[in-house]
Amino acid sequence: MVEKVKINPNGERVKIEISFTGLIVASYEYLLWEAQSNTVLETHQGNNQNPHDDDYLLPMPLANNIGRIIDVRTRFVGLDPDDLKKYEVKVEIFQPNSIRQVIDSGIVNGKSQFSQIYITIE
Amino acid sequence: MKIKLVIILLIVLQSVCKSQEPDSVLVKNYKIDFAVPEQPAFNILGTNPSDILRPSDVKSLSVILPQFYNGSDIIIPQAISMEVAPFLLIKNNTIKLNEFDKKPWLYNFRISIGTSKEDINEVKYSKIALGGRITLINEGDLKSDKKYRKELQKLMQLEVKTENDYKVEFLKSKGITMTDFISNEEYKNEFENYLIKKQSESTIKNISRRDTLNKIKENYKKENWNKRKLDIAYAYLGVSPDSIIKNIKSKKHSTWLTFGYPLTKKGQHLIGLNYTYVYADSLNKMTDQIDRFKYSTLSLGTRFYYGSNDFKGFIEGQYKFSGLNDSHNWLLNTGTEINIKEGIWLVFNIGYYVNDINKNNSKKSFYSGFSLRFS
Repeated sequence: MVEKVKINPNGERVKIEISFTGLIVASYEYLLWEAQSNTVLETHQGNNQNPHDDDYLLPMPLANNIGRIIDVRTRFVGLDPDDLKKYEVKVEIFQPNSIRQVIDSGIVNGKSQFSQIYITIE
Repeated sequence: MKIKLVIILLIVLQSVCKSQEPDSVLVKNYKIDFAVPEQPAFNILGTNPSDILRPSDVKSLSVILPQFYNGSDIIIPQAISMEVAPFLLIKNNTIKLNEFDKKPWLYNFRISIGTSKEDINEVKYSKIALGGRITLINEGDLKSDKKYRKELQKLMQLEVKTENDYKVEFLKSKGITMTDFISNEEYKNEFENYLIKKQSESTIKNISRRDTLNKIKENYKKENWNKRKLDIAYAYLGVSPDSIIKNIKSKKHSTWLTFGYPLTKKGQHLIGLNYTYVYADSLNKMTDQIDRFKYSTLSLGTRFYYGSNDFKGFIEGQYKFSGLNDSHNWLLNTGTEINIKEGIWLVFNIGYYVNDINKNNSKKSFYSGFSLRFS
């Protein structure tokens, strides 16, 4: 899934929040790629055990983030694929007076599955 | 002899089902079938004299069809009972792991409904039962086992990190930027093939491979089927001489408390307490009218299981005091449970019941049960 999200380079700091819906065990890696490059600027790992430690700030100055790519790859397993089938991986981009959501959703199959979200910052 | 033949048939059936496991594993690769489903509404129908309500797994829906074999023929069951976990059904699409962790009792709350027919004095009575239960302790539940989830989480983390490392390697080998990569479907498809190739070469086990996940699941089942469980349940039984709802008269209120704990790696011990409040009718010969009266029963049972999750035997003893005639009653019960296929269980039991053991005219009888259970 590839999406584009506009930010205000002169506004306040931008927060990226990752959350999960569904009775799943999920681990993810958040990468921030440099624009027009194959260099990774930031790497963060997380999971869905604790929902309060899954937000990250875009580096300052904000204008430098234009063209950069947020890459969230998640691996997950459904804990009850017979009864609780749906999953959702949500990446929210917050800046005061602006919220943008990018959602990848589907059905769990009981095996290890992956979700891939790319967001180009404009 | 017929019973022996049926048992042999079931064992053969089970081995046939086992040989088909790869297909069923593909379909329901993560289903855990621990204890056979037991339901308060089913128990209060009284199709089996045991008063122990065994703790069972939470399923959004489970069904019991008792007595489908009468000793010589397969018959249409005269009773049916089903159980649902309503909050699990309602929150199906929106549940989050941390919400589940905060209120596991809410999601394992289950309601059951059952019905059966019974002939009393040549009148065919309909019985309707409603029940509810909550599991207060469940150490064998995969969904809330944090140690098990942590193990999975680590494997997932390792896999996602490995995949991202391969992504960086892929971009460098192609001499392209991330911007080029995400704007070109061909690169993404090529990367997926690159990933498959790298994973097949890797010495790191890829957990998306079926065998590794199944190994975790199988180990979990082996190690946890007999872990500590505590269930509390209630059920109501109404009886009607016809099938009309407004003619239903209260017959019983029943509550159960059952605690199970492991006895070695292959055994489990259950201790069950049941209190039942019974409404009964008797013919008043003076007035020639039916009088209603009430009495209570109290049962204490103990049951030992031995075997594996898929195939186990049990033996049970039960004492029951009945306030109807201040009688002391005993039950001995033994049987086997076979998980013939994922979600399908066969339960066979045979028992000896002694009614009013302290009196000279005590009644003694054998009984047997054969039920099919789905979850």
